[in-house]
Amino acid sequence: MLFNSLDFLVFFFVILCIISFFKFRRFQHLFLIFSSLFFLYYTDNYLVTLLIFTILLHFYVGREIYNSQTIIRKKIFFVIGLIGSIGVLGFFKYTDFVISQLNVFGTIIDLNSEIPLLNLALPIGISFYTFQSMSYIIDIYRGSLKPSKTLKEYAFFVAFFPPLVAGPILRASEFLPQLREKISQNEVSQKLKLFVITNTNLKFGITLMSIGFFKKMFFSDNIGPIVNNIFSNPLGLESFSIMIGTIAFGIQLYCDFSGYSDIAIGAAAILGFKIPLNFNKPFFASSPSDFWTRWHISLSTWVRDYLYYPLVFKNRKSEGLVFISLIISMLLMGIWHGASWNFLIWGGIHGLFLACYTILRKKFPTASSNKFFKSKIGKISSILVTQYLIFFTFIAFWMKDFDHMAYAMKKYVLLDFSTAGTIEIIRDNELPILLMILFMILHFISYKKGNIAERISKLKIHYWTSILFIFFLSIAIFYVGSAREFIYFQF
Amino acid sequence: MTDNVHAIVAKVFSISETDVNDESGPENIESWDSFNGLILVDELENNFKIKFSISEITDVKTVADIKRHLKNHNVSVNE
Repeated sequence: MLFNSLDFLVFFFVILCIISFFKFRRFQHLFLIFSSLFFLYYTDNYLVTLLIFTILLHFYVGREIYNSQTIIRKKIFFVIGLIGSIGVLGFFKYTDFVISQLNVFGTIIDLNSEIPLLNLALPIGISFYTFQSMSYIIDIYRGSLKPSKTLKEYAFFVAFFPPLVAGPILRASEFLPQLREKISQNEVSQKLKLFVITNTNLKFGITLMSIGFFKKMFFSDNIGPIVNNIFSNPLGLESFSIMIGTIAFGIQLYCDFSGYSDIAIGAAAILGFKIPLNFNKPFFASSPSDFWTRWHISLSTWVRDYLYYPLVFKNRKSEGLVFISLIISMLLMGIWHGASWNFLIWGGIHGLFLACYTILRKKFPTASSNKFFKSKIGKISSILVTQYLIFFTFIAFWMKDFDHMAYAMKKYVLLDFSTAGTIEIIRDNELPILLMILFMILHFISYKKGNIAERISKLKIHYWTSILFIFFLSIAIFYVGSAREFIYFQF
Repeated sequence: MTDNVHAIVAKVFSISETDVNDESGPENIESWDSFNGLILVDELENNFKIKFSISEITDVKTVADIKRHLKNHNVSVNE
């Protein structure tokens, strides 16, 4: 069930109606759990059983870790939980990749037999809900989280449908207190409903969802064709054409994924839940590490808290360890996106950028306080250099063919200054180019003005409806004809 | 040694002490990333002669969280 489909709008509308009109509060709690399971079943059929397995396993393991009297028993249950999560994720997502690599190796050493591929269907959302579940048991193991008292509560946290299939990845420490507050209100007062839909939340949620639809259906879907034109066969193209392709893909990916996140956060807000931001104007990042505080924040903070910090925590003064830990962390980030070499290369390049930047900061600790970097020109230069590096990595994110990737990267770095072919591409793709320029202007305004969704949602009703009308009119005029899948659904 | 957490935070992130309050955190201090976050841990540990656990580090979202964890280590902080 795509967010940008009529199916979802009907589904969400029915849920809101039932929650608003039926007064059985306990029923609301269960109703949302079963609605979430139905949401995944409708999208992914019988693979919803994996979500149910993940919920049951982590709920039980989390409780056992917390109640364990001995460290050994605590560790055993912790390892069972990790093996369970990584095992299921690894089996469905990486088995065929490993088999194909073994087959390549077999061909090199002249083995005449091949291991057949399993051709497993990738369960939608598995990378997201597995990481969410893992953070739950790790936090309990570290002693910073009390486990859910009831299966209902835990199932609600993992299966909650807005962020279920493409994030943001929730943290139990942030989400469960909100849920517990609603449940305790439910127990104390007979007058309160469990899920109260307030006007403020409704207006903010609808605004954010509209912005999400606008990003996805107006920008991403209409910019996509130029990316396919340039990236599907880049051999022979000029440097500037490759650059237009990378910029277009960066914008397409951002609008697609942050659009999904906005819809998810908006839908959750209408139901009364606050989910943290997943993107924060990433194209104004002024360093590689700044970029990762602005792009896919829920995943980058997950990797930081559960992989990078444990790796460097005890020996954080060792430059070598910090360097290697950053590379490992970013390789994990890359492979998380998919079982493919291009994602590993993408993660590796980011790791290298971060590691070099970190070492430079260690060598020159006062450089950031330098007058130049504090000046406007210094800041703009930092942003431009950072974005040049970040957009370079998008080539690896898109291209699976090594020859294509190597050619595009070479052209991106070693400029040929030819323009004839690029002008032709621009002429053939006027709409995507105009949309890219419009996006950059709006991204700049959003960077300067702060939280645009909140500002719009606080406008008087006639201004508010006018802006939303412009969003949906733009979508309708430039609608590409069918609901396009979100890029992050494949992860 | 100082008992002023705000001064340490301001020094690590190269900002004015008046810009630091209990709500300050990675969301509103631009230079608060994983690198500077670990420098802040070093500064706090050296200053207050304590050792944070990894769960305390990952739990910190704001300056108020830092103060809460310092109090758990029996450190009295200047509010």
